[in-house]
Amino acid sequence: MTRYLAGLITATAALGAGVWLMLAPYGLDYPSGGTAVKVDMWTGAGACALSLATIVVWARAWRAQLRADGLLPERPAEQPAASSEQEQPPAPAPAVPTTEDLHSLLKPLVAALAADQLERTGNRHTEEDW
Amino acid sequence: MSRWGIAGIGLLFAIGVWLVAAPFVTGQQPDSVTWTTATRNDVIVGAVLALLGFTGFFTVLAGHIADMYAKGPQHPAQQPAQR
Repeated sequence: MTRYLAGLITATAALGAGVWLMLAPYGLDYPSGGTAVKVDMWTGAGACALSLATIVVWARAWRAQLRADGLLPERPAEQPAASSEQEQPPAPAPAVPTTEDLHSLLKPLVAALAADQLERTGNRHTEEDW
Repeated sequence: MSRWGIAGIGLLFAIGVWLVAAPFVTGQQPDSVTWTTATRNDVIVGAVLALLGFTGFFTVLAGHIADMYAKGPQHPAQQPAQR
């Protein structure tokens, strides 16, 4: 663990030094356009980039070591995209009307027809009575 | 992976050394003149960076060797039979 921590601490402190180098020409009022400004800006930028890369390298190495020691869980394996389609429920089948549905639909129609028939029959009897 | 990290620390040490030398190499600090603010800043920050790189390198090395001691002696998997 010591080496990873030492690498991270060193790189982080160097990052701070790099940032300071880039700010120093403004904070310390260097003569503008001089060589000192260019040297500090370029060196500071290089130190920042190198420090960031070193931080990333040490962090990844430490994480890999933690995984190898079993202290960090392994990454879950990525599932293929086709499986997500299989997980979706199948589309519902088109509804087929049952006999009861047909009965309930036809009942009022039959009743209306029967009532109509009865009414006509009644009217005929009335005409015959005349 | 750690080799890249050690190389990065070594390069940080090199940047520190460059910063200490830069005012004199680039000619922004003439000889026999009191150091300017820029020179003082560069020398101080460079020395800090070089010290950081130096300390970091040997601390990483010490940690690596401590891990090797903790793991114990590593025997090769297969040794050819000697007759």
